[in-house]
Amino acid sequence: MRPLTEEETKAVFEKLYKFIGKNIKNLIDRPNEPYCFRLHKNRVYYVKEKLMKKATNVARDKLVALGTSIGKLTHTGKFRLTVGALDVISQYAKFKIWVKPSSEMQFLYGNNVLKSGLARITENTPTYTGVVIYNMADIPLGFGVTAKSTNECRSLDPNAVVAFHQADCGEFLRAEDEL
Amino acid sequence: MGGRLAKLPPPVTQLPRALPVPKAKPLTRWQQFAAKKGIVKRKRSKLLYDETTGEWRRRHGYKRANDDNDIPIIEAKATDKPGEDPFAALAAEKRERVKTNRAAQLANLKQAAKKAGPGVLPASLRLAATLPGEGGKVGKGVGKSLRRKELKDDIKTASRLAGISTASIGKFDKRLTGEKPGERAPLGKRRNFMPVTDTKAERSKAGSIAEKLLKERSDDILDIRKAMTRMESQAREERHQAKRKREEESDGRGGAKKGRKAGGGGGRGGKKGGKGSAGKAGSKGAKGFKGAAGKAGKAGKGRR
Repeated sequence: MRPLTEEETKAVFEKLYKFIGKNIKNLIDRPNEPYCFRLHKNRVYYVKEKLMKKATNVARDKLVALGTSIGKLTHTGKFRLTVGALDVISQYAKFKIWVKPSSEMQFLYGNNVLKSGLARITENTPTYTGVVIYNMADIPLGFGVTAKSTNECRSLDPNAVVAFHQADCGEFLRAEDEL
Repeated sequence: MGGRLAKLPPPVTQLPRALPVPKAKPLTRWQQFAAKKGIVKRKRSKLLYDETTGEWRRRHGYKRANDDNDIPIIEAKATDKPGEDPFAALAAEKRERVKTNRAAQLANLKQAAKKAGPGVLPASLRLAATLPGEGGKVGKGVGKSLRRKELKDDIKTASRLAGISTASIGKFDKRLTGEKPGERAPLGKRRNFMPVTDTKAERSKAGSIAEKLLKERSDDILDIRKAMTRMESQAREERHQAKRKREEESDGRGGAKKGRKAGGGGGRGGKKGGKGSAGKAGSKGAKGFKGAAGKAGKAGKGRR
């Protein structure tokens, strides 16, 4: 376990910026309970500082995980968000998409969000931004990237992709080994 | 078995050229002479009739025809001096011929290299420091001083590698006289990570990285106050420009020679002031009109 280097921190913040914008500052400067990022076996964890200090007592090869895993770093230094970041992102999400109950399961199986499944979308969502996908009961299902902006969404045919799937809650069952 | 059977030629895979087309070499002295005279190259026969043995022997090589070494007896001529060795003379002549031939080849190469650059030299000579039997730089090779520098660098690298090939990578060995401190350090930067539990320093560092990121993308983030002030200053600027234009037009039509403080002096001065102010407003925005007014006023004063 070690703290992130400058380049790694920059990569992580850039990815998070696409979803939560200015609020990346709130991730570090939490008022009541300070959190930090730690890297362990190419996974980036978002963990309370108190917990992190306790985890330093565990040997490196015996430590499995700490806090919440928000993503993985590839061997070339690129950062990928995984479903563990959903909790963090949904708190500060800027742009949201609500999905109809009929196509909720489709998204949870890993498919993209189509126009036929789109119930609501926040105003002024630009294309290719990070967006958090909720179901009609306001439960975050996952996150993705918009394929069309809000204005373009209005004039789409029902089979067009509205948001590309990046991660969803179903991965906890499907891809349990990779988490 | 009925039907026609077409026999196709064997398949050929056309591969594209790996290297570019080589450029034409300049002609040698003989080739130029032959081209001028119209001499055509004729192929020589492999076998030659040897007079002494009376049989057909090969032209060059093992048991060749008319070999100099096979002559048993050379009869003395009237012009021969006693004490001279005719066999030695034959050998010396051959050596002379070979020498001139080599020199001619070298001269041809030098001429070709002078005309068309080192690319026309054969590959074995291209990297040579000098052409064989010659001094001076023709090929791509390095001169003597540059070679010395390369050798010196080689020695330095070798001594460095030897110095760090100990159990502690040369860290605790004494430095020799004349050795500089960095010479025996292993190459390559060692990554230094921040301490794991120093959270304050880490937080400030992460905060600065986040701030830099946000500043880079600040046009994306909407700051309402900034946008409003910018819009208001732009509107103010436009109103002022319109007002000044109206004033200048009324001045020009009136033909008044009186200078005006804000509007610029006279018809000519006013026009100049107008152009200058328009240019300045385009570039500087809110500050433009004040500076332009000052300039126009000055121009007006200069006119008088």
